[in-house]
Amino acid sequence: MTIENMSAKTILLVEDNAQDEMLTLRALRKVNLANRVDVVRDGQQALDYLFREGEFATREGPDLPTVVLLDLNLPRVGGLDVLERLRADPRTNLVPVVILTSSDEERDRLGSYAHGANSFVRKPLDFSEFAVTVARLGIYWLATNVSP
Amino acid sequence: MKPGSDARRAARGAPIPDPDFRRLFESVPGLYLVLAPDLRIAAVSDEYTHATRTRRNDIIGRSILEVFPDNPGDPYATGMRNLRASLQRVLRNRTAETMPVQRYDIPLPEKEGGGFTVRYWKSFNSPVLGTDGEVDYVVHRVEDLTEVIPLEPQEIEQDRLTESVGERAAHMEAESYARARDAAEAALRESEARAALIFDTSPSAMLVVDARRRIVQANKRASEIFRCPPEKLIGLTVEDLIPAHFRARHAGLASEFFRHPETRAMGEGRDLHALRADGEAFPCEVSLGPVNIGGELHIIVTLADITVRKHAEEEIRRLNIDLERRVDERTAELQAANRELESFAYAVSHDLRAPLRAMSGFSQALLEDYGELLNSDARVYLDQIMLASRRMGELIDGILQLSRITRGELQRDPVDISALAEGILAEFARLEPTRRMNWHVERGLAAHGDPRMIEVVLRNLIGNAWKYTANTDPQEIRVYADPVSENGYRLFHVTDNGAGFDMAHSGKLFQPFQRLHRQEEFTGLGIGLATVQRIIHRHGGRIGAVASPGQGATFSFSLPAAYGNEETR
Repeated sequence: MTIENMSAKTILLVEDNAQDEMLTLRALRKVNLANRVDVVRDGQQALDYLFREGEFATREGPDLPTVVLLDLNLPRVGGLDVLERLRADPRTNLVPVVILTSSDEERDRLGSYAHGANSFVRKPLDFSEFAVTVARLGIYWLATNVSP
Repeated sequence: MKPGSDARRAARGAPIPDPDFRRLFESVPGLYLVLAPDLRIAAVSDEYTHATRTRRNDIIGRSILEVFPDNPGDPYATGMRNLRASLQRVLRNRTAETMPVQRYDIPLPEKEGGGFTVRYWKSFNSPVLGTDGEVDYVVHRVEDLTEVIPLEPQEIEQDRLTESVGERAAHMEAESYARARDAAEAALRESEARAALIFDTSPSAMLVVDARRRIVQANKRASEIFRCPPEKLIGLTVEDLIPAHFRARHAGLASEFFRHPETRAMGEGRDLHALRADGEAFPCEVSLGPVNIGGELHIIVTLADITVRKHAEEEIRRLNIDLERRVDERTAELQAANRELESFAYAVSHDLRAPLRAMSGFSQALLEDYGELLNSDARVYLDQIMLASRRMGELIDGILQLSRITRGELQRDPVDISALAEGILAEFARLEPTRRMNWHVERGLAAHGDPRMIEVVLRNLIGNAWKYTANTDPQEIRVYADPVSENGYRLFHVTDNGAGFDMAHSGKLFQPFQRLHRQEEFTGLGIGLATVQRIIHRHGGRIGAVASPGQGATFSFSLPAAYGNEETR
């Protein structure tokens, strides 16, 4: 895996918690993926970003990120609603979405898969575990997984 | 003797030869016996022997009792007994006596097939007194009444026979008829009195109504219920006792009833109301029965005032509605409380974790990225922050598990307790290979419940046993059950020989966040047993513990017993 063959690959991190954002970015930085990450802080922003609307109407870069790391508990538009809108639109219905959440509630897990999540990852409470998990996620989706 | 010579002799005035009285007697038309005082037969008329199928020579000189025994095939035969009684009275009283009709069956001679032929007799016994006034003979005359009596020997009773004898027993008939009539009249009077008593003391109102729907008779209770004296009730029509809005319909239904009269309850499926004299309507129950009085169809109306019952029913209905409303309210409150608990648990799982992760995360980041700039004290402090946040994370997990156990559906499946316990113990042994644990799990233990929850129970109890035997030697854990289940529940036990605890503190055992050991002795959250208790309670079971310090502990819990071998799984 090299950075070169991932030049056009980006991660969209949808995270409203600034500390989780910092810790996530730090973990990705450790595996040299931090500069591939765009961050939005609520569900509406995520939709605008993905559909190039609103404040993101003129954003640069590829049409869609390689993977969306989506929290569930988000202000304005919740994570599951974002997922539902993505899956309902032909432009975004195939974009890989990984739910990254503190919740281990069954209804969140089943709801995520039911709405078409590609993966469900619980944020480990332990920081080392968390860092490893995030790093693996970044590498897997950007380097290992073949996008649609 | 020729008539001619008789006439001549009479004409001539020639003396009539002494009559041959024996021959005369024997030829007399009628059935006669002459009996000596000892009841031996002295003489008998031809008709008698003919009627009784006897021959004179066979019976003369023998006792009548011996010659005419009662029919042994008829256990009710009393003819001869009655005859003897009558004869003895005649001998004693020296007066004639007429016996009522008797059944006396005549023995048939062998050549006629033997046995008895049924006969009814009327008898007269008359004494023949000598000059000394003693009874010399008794003349016994009988009449065969068999022909005038309907031949139903088995069913005929003496009293009824009397009627059929007709003219021949006119005197007796009249007498017994008079007696019967008196008795019947007395019975009738008594029956009428009884009927009147029943009519007047009936707890229901009773009205007799004629075909024009007029009341011809009313009992006491009717006048009480309708608040109207009986004499005023009589002559009213039934419609007068019915609330106005129902009168027209009732008239139609009533004439319909008179066309097809049959005993039945009135107005099935609808509430009936009647009207008191003072205009008050009241709920009632009515039944109707047709009766023929003087050749005319009447209806007996039986009516019960059910005001009190209706009020009671209304009260019950009102209380039920109230109760249902209160149950609904409580249920809604409970559901709201549950929802609140659920969102609380959700918030805990989401929102309390993030700051914890930040604390431990940034501490770790600090240690990793700037560790070399910190002295050892600073690193210890950071370690403590991370330890504390990890512990708080565990507490949150415990609370979540506890709340999750309280919510959610309970599965009902067979659970192999033995296999679960073995599995958990093997897992602990694998994770801590240095421990030298002797464990024994009884084979074939099974229960019925939620497999995941029951696993949580066993994991906690066996986990505790494992934890608290760490400083014991040798170390033992046993899992077993009482051999017999009680009321469908079986009692299981998890026993260890570890640290145990003081029973004085056992009240705290199942309280969340309460611990009987200090952290430095045995680490723990104080959530496990609270969770276990909640799971057992949700299964309808009970849990308790027996222990003493240093002597180990036994936790016992009951779960629904497995359904047994008939279940095919």
